[in-house]
Amino acid sequence: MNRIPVYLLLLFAILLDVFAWPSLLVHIVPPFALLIVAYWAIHAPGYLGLGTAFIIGIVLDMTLDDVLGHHSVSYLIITYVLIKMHRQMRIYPVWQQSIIIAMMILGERVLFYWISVSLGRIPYDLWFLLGVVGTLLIWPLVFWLCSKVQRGFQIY
Amino acid sequence: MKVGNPETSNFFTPDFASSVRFVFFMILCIVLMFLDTQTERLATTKSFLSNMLSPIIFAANIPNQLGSAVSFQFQNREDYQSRIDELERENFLMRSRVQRLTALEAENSRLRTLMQSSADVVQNVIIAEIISVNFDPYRHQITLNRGSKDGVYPGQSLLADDGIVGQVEKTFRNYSIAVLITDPSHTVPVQVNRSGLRALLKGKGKFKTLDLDTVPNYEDIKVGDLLVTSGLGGRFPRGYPVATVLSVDFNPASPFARITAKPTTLLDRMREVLLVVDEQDKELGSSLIGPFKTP
Repeated sequence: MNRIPVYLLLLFAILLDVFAWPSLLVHIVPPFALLIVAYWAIHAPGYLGLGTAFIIGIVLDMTLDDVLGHHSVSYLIITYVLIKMHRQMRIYPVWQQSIIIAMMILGERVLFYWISVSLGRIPYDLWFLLGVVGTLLIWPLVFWLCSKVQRGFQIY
Repeated sequence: MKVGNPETSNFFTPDFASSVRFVFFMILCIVLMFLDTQTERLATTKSFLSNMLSPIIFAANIPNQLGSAVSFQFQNREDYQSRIDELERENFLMRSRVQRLTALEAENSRLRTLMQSSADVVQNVIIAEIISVNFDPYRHQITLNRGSKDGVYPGQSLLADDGIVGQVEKTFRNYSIAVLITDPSHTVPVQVNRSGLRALLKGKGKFKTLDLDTVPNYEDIKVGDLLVTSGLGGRFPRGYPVATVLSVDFNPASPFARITAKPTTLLDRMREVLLVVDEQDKELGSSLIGPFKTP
């Protein structure tokens, strides 16, 4: 099975998500694992999809000590929307993709913090919105890396 | 691939199948969130999962540990020498203080038996290393390398060399998660060491400042006052330093003074913490000192 490289990529992304970033960067750091899932949702829907998004959400909930299902909800929504519109997304150039993905991450962040608030965790500011900037900058890199893997291992 | 091939079934087109899966997983998520926040049914599942996933937490921390190991390797001889000198001096000072402390402890327990009040038992400690720090301003948490197999239990107090640091929130087999006193949802009952005034010290998501709530305008409190744990609430042992008062602002328009305090410990610099073992708390177990819950 040629799935192993993709799973390694996902594992690495999860490690980046769990890593304790310095306080300067903590808000800008994008959700790496979600971006990897997003790439496969666009370029090979059915290869990695909702199930993977769900499992990654649960893994992050456990390792970041969050409420079970908290990350999964927003990850599932983004993956679902991308699977639905994967034909459009493939046509767009990379910079346009990164804008659309960043807008989705904006929605994801808002939903994520909205759930946090309703679970009793109170945000004090709107710094979490900076994750959009990180996504905007990192998506071309994710795209490049994942397309190398996709071409190298013939995953369609 | 069961989803990707439309020809396998006329009815289950990929789009339809993914919609069904999406709804299924969303319902599953909502059920999980409900069960996790409202009930305790998922406790065993979560502890099983956390044991399985603990390698991820340890692996994600490797870069940090490598960084500190490298900086340790590259210190030069003079630095080491001066550090050793400094530590020796400090050790000498500490030893002389401890001599006095043992005498005082004995005297204290003698006086307490005379007054027939319960004596403070000498407390055991577990030393734990901090393996990761959560820098999220909304949740100040640290992960410790000691878990339930080392005798760590939820509600246990965390000490550093300069005072109270936080309390254990959750324990797993190999590691545990502790919440710091600066977490926005955390409050410590304290007492002003000089005047005996009791108040609540709240975290606000910043490493350097804490808020002292519910102190009336007319109370006796000054900048520089030491705040020690009052022992009320039963979570923290009595008499450990927590913070010093940083600013006092008596505002006649509001019923309470606005007071900020600074933790006595550099919370973002510490590497090890002490876990105070209180046999009574441990025996009471999860009934009284149950897992800390956000409201």
